Amino acid sequence: MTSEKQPCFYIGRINIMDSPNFNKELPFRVPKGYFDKLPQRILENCTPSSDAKRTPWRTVWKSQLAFAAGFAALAVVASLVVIFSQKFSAKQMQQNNTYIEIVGRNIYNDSETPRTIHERNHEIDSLNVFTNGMFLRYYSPRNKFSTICEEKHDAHSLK
Amino acid sequence: MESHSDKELIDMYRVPEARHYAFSLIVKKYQERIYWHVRKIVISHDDADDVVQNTFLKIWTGLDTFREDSKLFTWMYRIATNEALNFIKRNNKKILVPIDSTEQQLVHYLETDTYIDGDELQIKLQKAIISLPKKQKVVFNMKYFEDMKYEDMSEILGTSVGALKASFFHAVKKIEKYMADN
Repeated sequence: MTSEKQPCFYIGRINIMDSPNFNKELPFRVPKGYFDKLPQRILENCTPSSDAKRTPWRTVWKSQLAFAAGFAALAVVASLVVIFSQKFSAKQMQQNNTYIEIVGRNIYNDSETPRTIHERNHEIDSLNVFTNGMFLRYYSPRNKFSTICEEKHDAHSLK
Repeated sequence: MESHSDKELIDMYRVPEARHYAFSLIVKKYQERIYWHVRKIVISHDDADDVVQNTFLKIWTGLDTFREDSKLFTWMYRIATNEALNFIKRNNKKILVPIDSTEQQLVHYLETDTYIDGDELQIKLQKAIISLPKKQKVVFNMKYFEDMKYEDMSEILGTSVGALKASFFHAVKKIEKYMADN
């Protein structure tokens, strides 16, 4: 018991701090055998790997759901990336093939050819006009130059 | 059961093989004090049960870092007090039914909880305590019901003895007024 002086505390005329008649007991009770079982319940949670806080099952469920949703979203994104990258690489391969074709078959017999192609700004047959039907050349227009990507004799014009 | 001092329990806890056993002794020694301390703050038995379990879980994980420059029971009380007050704060945010305040919610528990069976005066005193600001409430409970020393309360609440005495004085005055008016 403390020896410190406490202030008077009256309920009606009774100073409850001094009166031995006033019941300081709390109006609370616990289920039967509660304190016999509580240590076991507490110790069940206290394993070496226990977190600092017991996580309610709702939180666990929500976090697992969030993890599953996140994983699903990641899987969808990954699938899209794979699909697009496959398409892109196929296209890239195609372009590479085209490029190889270009490198292998670039023909600039005529210094006027690129200029002509630019001026006419046609994808096909511009050179045909320029060469008066002797050659049919296909090319792909670029930003600053045009590349002839295929050349073949126009059998019809050679006749 | 053989009674161990706090120092003995802490020393035992620091032996890896005896760790779990030492903690079980700590739980058995302090469970009731911690429970009643928490129960006075949260009122509802179910809430007190949750808070007590969380408190002991924090004690379990924090005992490694416990420095013996404070008493074990004041350290545990500090954890329990913080857990209980935080519980009320969190719970207040979750309320979906139109209850105006924490105070009304606690009064609601006082009137409806299965594990409350005090007489009219006891219930009235609890209602008066509920009406206090949270710090005064904790101070009043510790002093009035547990007769705790101000020095220990100072360690638990991190407040000077003078401020605690003032808090208790104001709490008593407010309770007197509440009891007279109601």
